[in-house]
Amino acid sequence: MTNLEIISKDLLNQPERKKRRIPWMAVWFLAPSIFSFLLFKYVPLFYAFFMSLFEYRIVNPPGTFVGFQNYASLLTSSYFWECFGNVLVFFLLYLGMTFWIPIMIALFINTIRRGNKLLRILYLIPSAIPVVSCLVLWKWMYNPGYGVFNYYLAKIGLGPFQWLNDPLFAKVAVVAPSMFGLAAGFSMGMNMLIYYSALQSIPEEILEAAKIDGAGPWQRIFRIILPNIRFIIGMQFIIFVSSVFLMFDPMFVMTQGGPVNSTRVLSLLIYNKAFGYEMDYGMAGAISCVMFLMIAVVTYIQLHFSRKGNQG
Amino acid sequence: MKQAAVREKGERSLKFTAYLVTVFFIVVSLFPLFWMINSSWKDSLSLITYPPKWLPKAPQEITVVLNYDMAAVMTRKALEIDAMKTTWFSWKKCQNEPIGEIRVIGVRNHRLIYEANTVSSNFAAGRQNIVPNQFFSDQLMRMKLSEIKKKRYSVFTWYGNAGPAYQPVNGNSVGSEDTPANKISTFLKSAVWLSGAVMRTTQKNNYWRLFENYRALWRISDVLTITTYSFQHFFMNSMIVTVSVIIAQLFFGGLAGYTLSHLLSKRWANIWLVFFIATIMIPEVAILVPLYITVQKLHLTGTMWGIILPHTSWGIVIFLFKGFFDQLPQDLIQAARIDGATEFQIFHKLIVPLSFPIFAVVSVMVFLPVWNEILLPLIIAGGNSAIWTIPVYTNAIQQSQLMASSMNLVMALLVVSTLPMLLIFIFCQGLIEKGIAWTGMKG
Repeated sequence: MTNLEIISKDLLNQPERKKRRIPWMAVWFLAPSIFSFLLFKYVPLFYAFFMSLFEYRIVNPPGTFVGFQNYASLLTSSYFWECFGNVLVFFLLYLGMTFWIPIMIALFINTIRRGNKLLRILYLIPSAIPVVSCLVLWKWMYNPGYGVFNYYLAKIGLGPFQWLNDPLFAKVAVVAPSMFGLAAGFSMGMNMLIYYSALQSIPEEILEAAKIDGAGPWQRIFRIILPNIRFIIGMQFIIFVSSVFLMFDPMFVMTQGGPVNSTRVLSLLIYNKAFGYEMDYGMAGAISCVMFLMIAVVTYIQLHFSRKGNQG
Repeated sequence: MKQAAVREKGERSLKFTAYLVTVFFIVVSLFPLFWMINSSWKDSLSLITYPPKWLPKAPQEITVVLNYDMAAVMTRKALEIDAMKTTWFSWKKCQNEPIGEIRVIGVRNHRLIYEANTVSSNFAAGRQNIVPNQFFSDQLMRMKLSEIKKKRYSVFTWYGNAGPAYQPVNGNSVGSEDTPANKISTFLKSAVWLSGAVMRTTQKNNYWRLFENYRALWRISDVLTITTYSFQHFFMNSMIVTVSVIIAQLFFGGLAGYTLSHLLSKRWANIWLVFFIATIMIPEVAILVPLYITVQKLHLTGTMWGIILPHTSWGIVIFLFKGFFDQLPQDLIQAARIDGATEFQIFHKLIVPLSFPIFAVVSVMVFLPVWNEILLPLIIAGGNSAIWTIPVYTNAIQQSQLMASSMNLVMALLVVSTLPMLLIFIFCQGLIEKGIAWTGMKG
């Protein structure tokens, strides 16, 4: 072995040796975050599954091991399927009443030159009302006796509606605030800004080219712009689905699940089971795991399809 | 040269639809906010009457002048009781009128001997305790005077014998119409418990008293049984929680992001990044119960720490920080290292000043959800109202009797709880848009 070879081998080895040394500074910097994530995310996640296998007792946790009995009694219970059905109906309502609005507004504001920034701020402002405050406000406006809605609907010959007291109306009435700026789960203003910033990043040349090829403004929107932000819409849809599945605040504040359980959803069920009079932590854990699984599966399916869509 | 406007076919219809739809949605969305602010200025009665009123009634400042020329010589305390009776009993009698303030002036020999002022926020706070019903008697006020003085519901100014000369207050004197001043005048003239003689009762508009509902929030605990604290306590709680979470996120999230992008090898950085980011998929509701048990095991339920600490684990913050720090040039950090700076010094002296935008964006993005959060504070606080945050408090209020009786105070509460968010949305719109662009680009 020549001298040169030895030296070069030494040089080559050096970085490897360096790497093997534990970077203590990095460990110290990461430690608080790792600790907090473990303590408040991963441990609870596994503990949710763990406690779902027990008939949980608060006095002497975790209580009796019952295996999957909690799941069995949950899946055969009527209230679970009732809540699940409600979640599905809410999903359709949110989809029909809210999801498309920010896309539309972003598209329209994007075509407006004059007053563009002002319109954006004005559309964002209603999202500034804290969720619970906004819900209390709407609840009062819904009041059948002296609410502002019934008064103006009566003027055009409609009503009086019972809104939150009517099992049929209650679902729509719970979703309606989200249509106009309520920031529970997702907010119209923020979503609009997300789509708007995506629209801004569409290269001008594509639009110019389409214009020269004779595509009108409406055609450009449907043929060029919308397909261009398809990816963002897909991502937002995934977030939208999980936030609708997890929606809690509107039902909790406005109706507490009533009337006749018509607005009781799974997240409310967890809250009631665990922190209501039953204190059934095991069952709450089982519902949590079912929900987590459901969201994971739905997200996976959506990601799968959106990847396929992007390739195709 | 005059430029000929070349208009595409469909451009006009698009512009028209765009303005129409956008403005429609903006107006409808802003209506609840407008209605909230508008209602917070009204008196409690006009909120529960049908039809709803668009504008608040002008609050009336009522001045009652009592003449003691004919009365026997009275002690200061007796006069004070007399003034309080005049104020509180007549207000209770006319509690559905839009009265903003009642002033009682005692006059003897054309000189003021006392002046008593009560504003409507204090009346709203003390009404239930001081005048629970309409059985007015001398005895009642003798009992309640100490309460009024202790809580400072009314301001009583004593002049004694050396008071200034009495000058008639301007304002509408009592006519024949059905005004609050007129009602009070009739009521007082027939009262047997009053020592002074009603000389003059006037009223005038005092628009400053529109804001009395906000001031009432500061003593709202006097009328509520759910908690012994008033609004300002919960506002401070919310502020403490939000600011602490922001500081913790900026410090720990920043350090973690910096470590991931500059201190670790690519392989390890990616592993830890996945560890952090995967938690975005774990919904809060799904881990609610075990999270509560964890906090309970740490003996933090019912404390502010129990609300703050679980908020220090947000994957999205570390993701944002790492994304930003990745763009900082490696050479700069290398140079500082060669100069002998420790890693913490590099972070503190070099990275932080360079990365102001990301710190600002993260602060704003963290503020909004934490200020809005109800579920976690609700379960952690439990029955301990000392650590309730604004959303928990608002929810408790809407289930209390206040929702039915004094809707105007609830509306004032909603307005004040909206203010911090509103300020942030208006002044930090640029930051919010920047944050959205950054998360959107990589997300």
